[in-house]
Amino acid sequence: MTAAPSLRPAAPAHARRSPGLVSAVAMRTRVEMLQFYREPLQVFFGFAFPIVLFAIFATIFDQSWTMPDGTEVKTSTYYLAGMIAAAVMTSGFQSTAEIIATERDDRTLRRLAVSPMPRSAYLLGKVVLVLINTTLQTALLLVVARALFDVPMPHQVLTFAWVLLLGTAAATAAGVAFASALPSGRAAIAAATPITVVLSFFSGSYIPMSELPTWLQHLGYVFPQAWIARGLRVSLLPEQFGQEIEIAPFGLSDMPVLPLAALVLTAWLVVMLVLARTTFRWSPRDAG
Amino acid sequence: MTSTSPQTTPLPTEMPPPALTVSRLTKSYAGRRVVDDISLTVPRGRIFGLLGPNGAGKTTTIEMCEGLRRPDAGTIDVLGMDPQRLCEKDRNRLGIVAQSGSERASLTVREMVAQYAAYCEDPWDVTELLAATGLAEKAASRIATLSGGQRRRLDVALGIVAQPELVFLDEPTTGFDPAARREFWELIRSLRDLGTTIVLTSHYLDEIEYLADSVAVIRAGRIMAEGTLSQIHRTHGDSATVSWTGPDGPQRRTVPDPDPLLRELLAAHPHLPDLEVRRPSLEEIYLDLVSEESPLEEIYLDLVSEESR
Repeated sequence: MTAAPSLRPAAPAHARRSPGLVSAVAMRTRVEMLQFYREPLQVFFGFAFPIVLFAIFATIFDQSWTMPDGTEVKTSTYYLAGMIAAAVMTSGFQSTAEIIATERDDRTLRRLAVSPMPRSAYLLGKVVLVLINTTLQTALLLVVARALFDVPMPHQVLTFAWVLLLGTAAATAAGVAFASALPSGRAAIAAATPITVVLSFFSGSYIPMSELPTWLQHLGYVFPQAWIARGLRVSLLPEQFGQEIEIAPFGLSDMPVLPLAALVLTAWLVVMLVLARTTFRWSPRDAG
Repeated sequence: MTSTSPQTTPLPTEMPPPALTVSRLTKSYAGRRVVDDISLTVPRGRIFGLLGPNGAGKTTTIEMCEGLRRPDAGTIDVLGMDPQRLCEKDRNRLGIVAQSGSERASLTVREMVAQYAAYCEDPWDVTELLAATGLAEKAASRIATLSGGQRRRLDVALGIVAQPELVFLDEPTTGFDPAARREFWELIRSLRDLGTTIVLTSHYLDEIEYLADSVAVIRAGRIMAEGTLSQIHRTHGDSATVSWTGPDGPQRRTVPDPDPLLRELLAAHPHLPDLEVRRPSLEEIYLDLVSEESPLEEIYLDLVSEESR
């Protein structure tokens, strides 16, 4: 194989193109999807875990609340909202933080940064991946909840949709910011899982909020996951539940919950985006 | 004597500006000057080699030229651009071969190269590029299945896919087996023949000897020698080591001009067994330029005692 290698351009000189952001995002999405879905075990366990957890909680804590007018609200419905919220955090926050931290440490980011790729295409591609995965995961959870536990489908579909969307965006932004917050990829990976798990305990994902002391509930409502779960509960549970069982976060009993949820989630989104923008590094920390 | 008409032969074109100009570049870490006031010029369409031992500052210098590190002082001009201020479009002109230990390696080789080609304005044809970098057989294989040398070749393919005018290569053949090195050298040469300027760092003298049109030898952040290799040989090789066995045992002396010493020796001693006059090889010159303490004589002794000719 000592013949001189031949190279030619892909396109003749007059047919030069100017690839833009959209085509770059499309390519990044394709790359993200291939890299994610080509790991079958990771895909399987990743999607199965929230479903299994949901099934476990719904089976073990098979109780219900009784509303003043006699309707029963089962814990399985509560847990559906909580599990979707947890899945959003896993996909948007934890997974994103881990992967970005890894790609920074193994110099993938650096290689992208010195290529002609428009830089925002990287994060936009990640966002699209998270949206796709979250939609799939939510659909799976809804199917299992309906089929095995007779959980009713959301009666406020629009609320369900925007809470999910805004929550995913806020979680992903937090993941991006977190990936740059710690000095190394390994530190970020080590920290992301415990944070995600602990948060689930006071966000209404593993334990209903009403079981927690009031101060801990308020603490939970500082973070986005509790609001995602709360917003989803509004779309899944009867209105009385919100009045009878849920607390007013931070004692703001005059404010309706959904606008408050939109406010908090948007605040998280904006703050995390600003943080991400100022702290994002394409090179690992040792680079000058 | 006809007066010139508008259609006279055109003036000879001026020399194009250098591809890379580095002026008084300095970088310090923890109080230590890793790059110490160096200046370089790389003409267009040539292979320029930066040769030096590990820790000499080659990688830091290259990274500053690539825009990946900020200099403490000095200026860098790459194809008329400031490497710290490159926009994404500019990066079509500049090829950086970056090493990466890709853990998320589920893309195939072709998919990976096609990804980067998609970001470029005027990329090489992917199939031809894979063939030229010796990756044709592995085109459909996942990156995880590549050997170390194949991964490096992929790094090269990704670094040059944009058809850049200038390519930076930092110790590109480290870890390559001899056959792979040869193939790689041919690829670099063919790139140069297509008009690409190549800036290459290496600690392998044979690689620089084979590839480089011009060279700078760097040690401890400073340029010790610059020019073509034959110029360096002439400039720094003007000494000779005279050795012989005298009444007190083996003797060695390094002098700029051996003639007076030889005349003195031959006059004083009728018998001079093992008389030998050696001029330094390129390797010895290089080692002398980059060694910290030992004079040429010591190095020559080490070389002579270890090798078995």
